[in-house]
This record gives sequence, C-alpha cells and structure tokens, in this order.
Amino acid sequence: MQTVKISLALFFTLITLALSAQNGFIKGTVFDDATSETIPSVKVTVIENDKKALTNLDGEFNISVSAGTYSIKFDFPSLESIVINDIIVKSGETTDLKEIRLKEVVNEFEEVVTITADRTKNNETAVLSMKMKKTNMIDGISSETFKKMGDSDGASAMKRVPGVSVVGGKYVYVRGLGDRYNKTMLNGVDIPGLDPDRNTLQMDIFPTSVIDNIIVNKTFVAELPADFTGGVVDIALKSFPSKKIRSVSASGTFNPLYHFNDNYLNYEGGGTDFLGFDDGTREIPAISNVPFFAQVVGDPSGEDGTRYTEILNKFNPTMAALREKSMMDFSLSASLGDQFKKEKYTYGYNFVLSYSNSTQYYQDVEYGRYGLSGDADVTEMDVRELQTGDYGVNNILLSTLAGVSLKTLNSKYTINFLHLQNGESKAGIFDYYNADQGAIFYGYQHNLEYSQRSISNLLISGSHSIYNSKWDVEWKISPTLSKIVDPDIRFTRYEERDEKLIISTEAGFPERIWRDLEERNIAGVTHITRTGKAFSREAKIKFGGGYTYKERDFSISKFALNIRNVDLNGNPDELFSPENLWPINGDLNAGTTYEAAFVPTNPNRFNSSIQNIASYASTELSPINRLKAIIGVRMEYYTHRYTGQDQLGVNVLNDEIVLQNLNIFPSINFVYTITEKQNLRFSYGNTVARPSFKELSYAEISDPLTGRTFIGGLFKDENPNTGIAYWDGNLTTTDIHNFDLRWEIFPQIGRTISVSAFYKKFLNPIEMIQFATQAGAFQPRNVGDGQIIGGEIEMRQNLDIISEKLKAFSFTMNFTYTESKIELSATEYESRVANARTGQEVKTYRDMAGQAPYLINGGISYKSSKEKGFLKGLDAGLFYNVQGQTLLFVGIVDRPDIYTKEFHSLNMNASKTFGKKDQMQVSLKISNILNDKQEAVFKSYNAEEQYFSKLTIGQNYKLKFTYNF
Amino acid sequence: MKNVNLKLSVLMLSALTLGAVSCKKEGCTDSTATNYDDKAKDDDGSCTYAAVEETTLNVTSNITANTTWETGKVYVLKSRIAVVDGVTLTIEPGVVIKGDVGTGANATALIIAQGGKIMAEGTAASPIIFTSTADNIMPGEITSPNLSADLNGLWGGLIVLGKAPISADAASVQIEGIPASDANGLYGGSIADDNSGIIKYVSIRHGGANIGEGNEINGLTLGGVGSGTTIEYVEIVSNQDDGIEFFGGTVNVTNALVYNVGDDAIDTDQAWSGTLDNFIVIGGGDECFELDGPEGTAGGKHTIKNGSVKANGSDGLVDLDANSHVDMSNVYFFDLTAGQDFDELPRDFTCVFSNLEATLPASTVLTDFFKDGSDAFVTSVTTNTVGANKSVFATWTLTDASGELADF
Repeated sequence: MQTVKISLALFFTLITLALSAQNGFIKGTVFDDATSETIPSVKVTVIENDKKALTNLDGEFNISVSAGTYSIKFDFPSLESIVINDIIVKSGETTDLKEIRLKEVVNEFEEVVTITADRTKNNETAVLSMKMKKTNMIDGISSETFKKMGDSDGASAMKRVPGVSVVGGKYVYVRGLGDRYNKTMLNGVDIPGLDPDRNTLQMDIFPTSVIDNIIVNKTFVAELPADFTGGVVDIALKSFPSKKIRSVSASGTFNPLYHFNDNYLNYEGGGTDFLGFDDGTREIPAISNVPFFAQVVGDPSGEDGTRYTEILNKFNPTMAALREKSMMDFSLSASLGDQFKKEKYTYGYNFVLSYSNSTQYYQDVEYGRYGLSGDADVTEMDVRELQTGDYGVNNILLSTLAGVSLKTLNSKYTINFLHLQNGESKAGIFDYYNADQGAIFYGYQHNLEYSQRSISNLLISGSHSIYNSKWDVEWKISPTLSKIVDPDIRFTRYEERDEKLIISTEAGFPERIWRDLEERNIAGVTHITRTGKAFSREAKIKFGGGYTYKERDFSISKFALNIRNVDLNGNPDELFSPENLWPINGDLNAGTTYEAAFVPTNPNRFNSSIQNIASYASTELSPINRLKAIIGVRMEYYTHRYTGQDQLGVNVLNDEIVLQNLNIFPSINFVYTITEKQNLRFSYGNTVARPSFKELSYAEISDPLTGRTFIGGLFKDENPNTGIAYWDGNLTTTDIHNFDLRWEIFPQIGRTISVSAFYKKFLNPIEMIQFATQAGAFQPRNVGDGQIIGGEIEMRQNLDIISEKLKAFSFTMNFTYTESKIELSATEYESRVANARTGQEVKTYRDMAGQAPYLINGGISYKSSKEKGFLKGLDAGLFYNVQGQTLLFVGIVDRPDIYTKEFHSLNMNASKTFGKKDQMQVSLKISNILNDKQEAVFKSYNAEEQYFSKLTIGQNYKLKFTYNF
Repeated sequence: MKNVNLKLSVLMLSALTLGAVSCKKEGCTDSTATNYDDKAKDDDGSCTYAAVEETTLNVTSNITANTTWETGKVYVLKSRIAVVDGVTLTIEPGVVIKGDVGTGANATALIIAQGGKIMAEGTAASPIIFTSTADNIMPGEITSPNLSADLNGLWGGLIVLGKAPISADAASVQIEGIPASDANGLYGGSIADDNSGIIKYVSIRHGGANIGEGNEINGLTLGGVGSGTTIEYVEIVSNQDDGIEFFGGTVNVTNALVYNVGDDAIDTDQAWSGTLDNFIVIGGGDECFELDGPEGTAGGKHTIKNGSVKANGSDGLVDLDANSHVDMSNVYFFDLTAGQDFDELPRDFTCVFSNLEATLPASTVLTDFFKDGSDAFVTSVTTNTVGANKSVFATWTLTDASGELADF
C-alpha cells in the first residue's frame, strides 16, 4: 500500500514537471571530485529566483526555468559549495551542465553524512569512502579491484579484504571466526547455502563478472540480521551500468601438475556434464517398490524377483575411474549493459553470461586416521587407516545474470535474475591400508562422485527518496531456489588378501548413494530513513523490518552392494557387467546384489523450515560536536520446525517447533572524530548463532567419504549404567556479546591506517562433540562458555611517502590476531585426562574449533599513470595471504585433535590495456607461487604430526583477454 | 408417556422376532463356531469363533516388559529389537525367530542390552532357530525347505551386550553399527560375573546384514558379556561377517559350531577373558581365528581349547598380533591348502600354545603353514588325537543335517 502511495506521489511530481515544459531546463550530474562518485541530495539553488532542487540518488538534477541567464549554486555538507555562472537557457531547450565536481572542504569533517543510499560502490575508493563514512565497521572489495587483479571468482577476490580469509578456496572466515559465526547475503537479503554442513555460501560459485561489490560488515547495527558474529558478507550483484558496457573475455589457465597430464582421473558421465548438470545418466534406478535380496532369493522368477533384476539392470554400469589426458582450464564471459537517459527517467539493463571449465588433478593425496596408543608411555600416534592416491576434478560453472532498472527523479526500481549452475565431477583411485585394532589389511578403491548445485535468485527492489529527500524508503523482495544433488556417488573397495582380490565385509561393501537437498527461500526487507536535525546537527532515524522463510528438504538414498561369490578381476566395472549380475547362470548365491538402505524407512530424510520476522529501529545522531552515535535495537522472532525421525522411529516429529524465541538485540556504535581525518570508533552489539537445519534434527547421517557419523542435536546422550547424562538434547542458540574499538586515520582518500581491538563473549556456543562411546560419531552440542580477544591492524599506503618516484606503487597490509578459549565439556575433559600421555598436562579449556589464531593479508600493487609507452595502462600486484593453524576437529578418547596447517598463498597479477580507447585488456595471474600444499594434521603431545589430509595444488598460470566494444 | 411408547416398541419388536422364529429356526449354522446351533436352519450371522492362535507374530518395537516367546511359534523381527535394561525375554524350545529384510538402519537384529536378559533354552530335540524371513522353515524343522545353506547376509544377528570389563577407549563403548544415539548399543563395565541369561541349543543362520556403514552383524556378537551368562550348544551357519565375535567380557562358551561364514569364524577383541571349549570350525571366509589384543589399558587373556578346524578354503588359519593374549591347546587343523597360515606368535604377553595337531597336504611341511616358530607347538598327524567331541552337535544342527560333520 505504501508503495502505491509513493508511486502516486511520484506520478504527480512528474506531471507537474511536464506541465512546465514551455520553460527551458538546466540539468547535470554532481560528482564528488575525490571519489568520482555521484552525490545525491545536493542542494541546487538558482540564485536569480531562489528556486531550489535536490539531486536524485544518482546525483542528477533537472530544474525548469524561464529563458534567460542564470547562476546556480551547489551545496553539500562537507564539500565546498560552488557557483556556476552565465548559464544560458533557451525556451523549450535543455542546458546540460554535464559534470559538476564538488571538492572536499577541510575543517568540516564531522559533518560528513553517512550515505547509505545508492552510491557507486564498484571502485575501491568508493568502498574506502563508504568505510570512512559508515558508522559501523565495514570492509569491502569492488569490481574494479577484481578486474585489476584478475580474480575470477568471489572467493579469490575476498582474500584481499582485511580480516578475511578463504578456507578451502570457498568459504569465507571473517576475523578467523569459523563458518558458524559468519553469514552470507545476496543483495542485502538472506540467501540459502549450498552445503548442508555449512552456514555460509561458498564464494567460488560467483564469477566476478556478476558482482558489483562485496561488503563485509564486522559490527552489528540494527538493520543487519542478528545471526552473525565475525561478519556479514554481502554480495551485491551488478544492476545498473553507469555507462555502456559491451565486453567479451576469454581466459585459459595452465597448471603443470593438473593439465595435459596423461594420468588424469575421470569417469564416464553424461552428455550435458559440460553444461554443469546431469542428463539423467546418474538417475536413481528406483525409489519405490524396491525389493530386497532376501525377498526374492526364495522365488527369483516371481514378481519381486523380476522387479529386483530389473532394478539391478538399471544401474549405470560404470564403477571404475579412468585415466586419460586432462585439458586445461578455460572460461568465456560476455557482458552487455547500457543505460538510456530520457528526460524524466533513465532506464538500463545488464546482462552477463559466463562459463568456466576447470580441471584439477591431485596426485599423491593422503587421507589418514591416527589414534593414540593404548600405552600412555607411547607418545607417537598409531596409524589406523591410510588412503593414498590420486583424484581428478572437473568443475563447470555456468552463470547468467539479467537485470533491468528504472530510475526516476526520486526513485529507482530494479529487477534482477541470477542463475548459477555448477557441476563437479570427481574420480579417484586410492590405495587403502587399515590397521585398526588388529584387523590389518591392504586394498585399493575407486571413488566416483558428481555434485550438481544450482541457485536461482530473483531480486525485486525499489528505493525512493521523498518529501524533499527527507524520507528514504528502500524495499527488497527476493525469492531463491537452491538445489544440491549428489547423484550416484559410487564407491568400490577391493581387499588384497594374499594376492587374491576380494570384496568383503572387512573392507566394506561397495555403495551407491544419492543425496538430495532442496531449499526454498523467500526474503524481504524494508528500510525507512528519515533525515533531519537533532542537537542542531544532521540526524537520522531509521526503521524497518525483514521477513525470511526458508524450507529445506534433505534425503540420502543408499544402495549397499553385496558381491556374492563373483570371481573378481580387479576392475570395478566388472561389478555391473551383465555376466556378473545376480544370479550368475541361475546360481542364487552368485552375482552382484543390492540392498536398499532407505527402505522401508529412511532416517536420513528430513524437512525443516525457518521463519524469522524482524523489525528494528535506530537513530543516528550527533549529541555533541565530533561525536556521532548510532543506537539501535532489533527484534527477531525466530521459529524453527522439523519433520523427520530417528532410525528406529522412537522419535518422530511432524512439523513440530524445535526452536522458537523472541530476542531483542541492542547495538551501539559511536564514532568520535578526533581530527578531520581521524576517527575513533566504539561499538557493542548483541548477536546470536543458531543451530543449522541439520544440527537441530534427529538425523543420523553417515558420510561415506570420511567415515564419520553425524548425530542430530535433538538426541540425548545418557549412559544408563553410570547414570551420567552428557547431553540433554536441548540444542539452543548461542548468545554473543561483541565489543569493538577502532582507531583509524585517512590521511588522503585511498589511504588508511587503522588499529582495532575486539572482544567477543560466547554464551552456550555450539561445537561438534565426538561421542566418547563411538569412534567417529559427532553431535552438535552447547558447550561451556567461550571468548575471543583479538586485534587488527590495517594499512593502505602509497609508496610516495618513501620517494616520489614510487608514486605508482601502493602497499596494503592487514593483520588479525586472536586468542580464543572454550571451556571443556565434562566428557571432553574426562576423556582428555584418561587418554593423556605420561607427563602431559590437561587444561580445562582449549582453542575454539574453527577459530584461526591469526591471519595476514598483504600486497604491493603498481598502477601506471603513464600516458604513453609500454607502461601505459599497466597494473600489477603481488599478494600474500595466510591463516594460522586452526583447530578443525576436536579430539576425544584415543582420537587426537585435527588442525589445518597454514597455507602460504602468494599470487601475482598483471594487466595491461591496449588500443586507442583502451578497449583491450590482457591479464596474467600466477597463483601459489610458493608452491604450498593444503594440509591438515593430527596433533598430539610430544608426537610427530601426521596427515589427516594432504593436497598438492601446484601453480596456476592464467592468461585472460578482454575486449570492450 | 415417553416410557410407555418405548415399552410398546420393545413389545412389538419381540413379537415380530417370535413370529420369525416360529417360521424357521435361525442361528449359527457353522459347525466350527463356538455357538454352533445344530437346530438352526438359517444362518443369522451370529457365529463366534475361538481366537485362532496366530503362529507367526511380528515384533515391531523394543521389548520393555518381561516377555515369553512360545514353543511352536515364529517371531518375526521387524527392525532392530532390543531387550532393554531390567527386562527378560524367555524363548521356549523350538521357537523360530526370523529377521525381516533390511539393511543399514533397517537391518533386523535381536539385541540383549546391558541389564537385559535372554533365557533361550532349547533342547537337542527342539533347538531355537534364528534365521531370515526368506527361510520357510517352521517350528519342528531343522533344515530349510527352500534356502540353500550357504546363503548369507539375509538379516542381522544376535547381539548380547553386558557389563563385564572390556579393554577399549572407554569403560563402556557403543557396539559397531548402532548409532551412538541409541543407548541400547552400549557394552562394557566393571561387573565380571554379569549375567545376560542363557543361550542353549541355539542355531543362528543366514545373518550378517550390514547394520551401519561397513559394519556387518556377526552371527553371535558378545560385547562385554559376563561370566554369569551361560552359552553352550550354539551353531552359526552362513553368516556374512564373523561367526562369533567377542568384544571383551568374561563369558565362557562351550560346544560351539561355526560353519561357512563370510569373514572370520572366531574373532576376539578388547581382551576377552573367557574360555572357548569344544568347538568345530568349518572355514570358508577369512581367518578361522582372528585373535586380537587389548585396545585400552585393561588386559585379559582368553583360552581356546579342544577344537577341530576344517580350513575349507579359508584365507588363513590363525591371525595373531604382537599384543594378542591367548592360550590355545588341543586344537586340530585339517583340509589345509597353500597360503593358509598361523601367521605369528604374540610378543607382548606370555601365551601358551600346546598340543596343536595338523594333517598336512602331500609334500608340504609344518613350516609352510605354521609361521614364526609356531610349528614348534604343532604335530603333523594323519589321524588326530586332539580336537572336538562332535557328538554334542548331532541331531540339532543344520551342519549335521547337511552332512558336514562327517569329516570330523
């Protein structure tokens, strides 16, 4: 209804303007000279007749005057007012002043207004400028930087954001806090994840060509959702091009280890694999009417028997990984966009299509499982299980972005559609060694996997500036459908027993698994801002609300294969070769048979939904000179429902509420302007971390790849013999109190030094706890309170401070250090004491899982200002990134802690533009110059580290060519 | 007035009924009914019947109150069924228990949880049989009318869990294959003479379904079972995983027969400290004996004596580790083939091997099969002087009925 009213108001405004058409017009666009950003709400005064107007969200104005000569004055707080004289206006014509550039005024810095409306955020200076002006602490990266650095996806781009690290090339950690404490948003609204085990969305599925900017909010303000602690990563997609864009680009990447390698591993997939989806090749043979072997063995030619054989024959016969030559990576991208200015409105469109095909081949990969010896005097860990071998990955990413926008004098409307399609095919061959508790054997295995992910997102948004720009209204509605399917994960392990190959219970039966996850999500937000005056200074009141509904369906359907009395040759394809399918020559005790684990009930299936209704109010004011405060409060009413059951059907829930709470989240942010270019900031916010869909469930999900079993948080853990209750099944939210202090100086636009300190207190944090009674069974539980203390230093500096000759070079560095502590649960403490090595001291606390102790980002970049010669249009940079050793899995009983090792990432980028109009660009990127490996290790007192996982990733050389026309 | 009307109606109705009866006698005309009326000519649908005794009964949930399974009946396990703490399940002679189809979480098994008891006392004439629903066997039969004896993995198995000491990561741990969320899967404790009941004249067949990831169920799983428990006269046939697996505990087993299992015939772990006396193993899977040492700090030694082992194409004879802790005596091995071995002698503990005998294939020597110096304890014989007394397995076992005991 509100929207209708606003539209009506707007309509009448337009009519009024149209009626004055017999006059002439003066129009133009106002820019901030320092940042080249457009400035909204600039007061435009015609001196001769005192006619006033304000620039719109894009800095544009249009004033109707009768024919004559005029002087016009432009006023904007913090910027120097200017007057343009001798403007001649003819009747019925428009005089276009084009660009009006306002310069910064010194001495009035405290008057800088936080502009949260539509600013051009896609250049680095704009991001820095936002950062300076925002009252909460943010960091970000813009599309300009992506282009310069040759980053191809959101994940690699994020590495350059202060306090951010990217784990596994996909997931963003802010200030070293793990996945649970970060949040991803798309265009300022909630977006579902693509991994059932993750809270945040993987960033590598966003090609940089669709991203306008990525902003990381590190402190809480009332307009942000409350469920984050480290940071909210907000990915803004491209919406409205500021100028005509027509560009195509192509790139190729070569990795000497991965590409043109004859031993690369692959497997036969479907005809549409190259487009990122399966064509049905991997379809499940049956989901209903699935008879068991024991039902048909008595009557193999009966109805069930016929059905059984039919299903058996429907399985895709491929079980083996193939060695073949690998291709190199390539990608193609096209962007098209333009805007059309009409007298009363501007409209634009944006279209991006991009495709990438990448191939990785990991050699001599190692996955291990180690344990503590039963003898406390022995400090070295025992090997329990070892997988060593090679695997190949082919990753396809197809993305489409299409958007249209319409801007009127006071409003802007955007409709944006995004579809990401990702298909990942993996094939591996591993040697297998088992030495777990007496059962020692050797073997080898073939793993085939396919994972297909997609996100379809629609964004409809509008923003309006009304009543002389005193009111700003912004609204967004965004439905998303996301799917992840892992069709037909295939696993075969042979045991080599005295040179004889067998498939037996000891080494485990072959399996075929189908995993499905679908999430439907609708999110909407409204922000209303009233600008005015309080304490005779600029002030704002902001209020609004949000609504999010998410629903997830999850299921795993597994077939276990029982290979009965088959003479094996060692090639896994033999399992489904027609002559080996049960019954071989009518022998009822010979042949490949299956057992369906999801019949008659499937405990690995659930449906969950979340509804979150939020509203907030905040005020931004300046009670005393130089001090600005934002004080806000947010309310969230959160309801989590669950449908599913445990293995035996003892606990069955049908759309029942498993978590519901109404919380009030206060936030306080103060900015004290010490000098015009120096700020001191303080903030406090109360935020929350909630259990995920999977965590708040009765799911009992085993991961065939890691051999771990996930036990849903709703189960109790009680030992009836000892009477000890370890866990009560009431998994609840974590309350987090965040305190931040930051001092920052901006000697010039584009340069920064800042020093921050933060403290976070976690009440009832959730951690994955291993069951003492079963190896490899994990459950999310609220554990003892935790805390993190940390510090951050950030610098961006041009090297002209050393010498004027180095003006083209600039240096960036940021360093985050944290110390985390979590109290041990009773089970964990007992188990650590019971399994301590001789001489080892056991503390009552440890590091928080997933919390990195430090992270460093740093780099030197070169940007040529030469107008001629080779150096013209040359950009180059060298960037380094590392995250300290992080506790990945918490150990218990004889299972030691697992840590991810530091990965020293050093990358080099260079790009050069060519052509008369700089319409061509060539860029080169070399990654992992230090040739580091991705490693995670078991650690124990006085013991040598042992691999949990080891991946050799080699160096990538990427060459990209872009043509703009 | 109301009452009058009602009375009137009743009167009229009675009159009508009387009128009808006077025409032709109505009643129950079915002679099998309990109210059969031999004078009735027309059936009026009033027949009632004695409750027909169901001979096949489904067991769908955990046994939480003392229960008796009666002679002459078939009980079908529809899921993983636990006899919980404090509850006794009595199984009368001749009862047939059939596990329904299913794998993983849906695999069927009978679990005697810690504190629960099984009183399964069959007789030589009337053993208790555990098998699959695929088996058409009925009470009173020893052999299946339809299943070949070598089919395996058709259902789970019998799992007995007690409170006797084990040597593992913790004093109590979860039996493999049952998720940690189900406390009925716990075993191990400190009561050495714990009593889980009696298992006597019990035959377990065609089991070994996959219950959890890579965890098949043994024919008879004994986790932390105490010495107060009686286990004698047991037969395991065609189990896909091990025949009998001991996870710690102190229980003694006498008169056991394991025939044609997919993995190890006798498997010991976590410092089982009981005695296996008078047994027959007919191999076919992995090892005839897989004898492992303690996994935790607690120790314990077991004794294996008076047995006969027909290797029958097994992959190995005896698999020992450096820390195995076992005494073995009076065991006879025959039907050996190249590659099968007694692999090593334990180093960490003192173990006594004595009076072992073997009948060797032509032109082989003891050291071809008995490695690491173990040949010193073995005598090569043509006719054995030690071994099992097979007469205890006569009449009630499927193995005997299949003629497989003739070689012993």
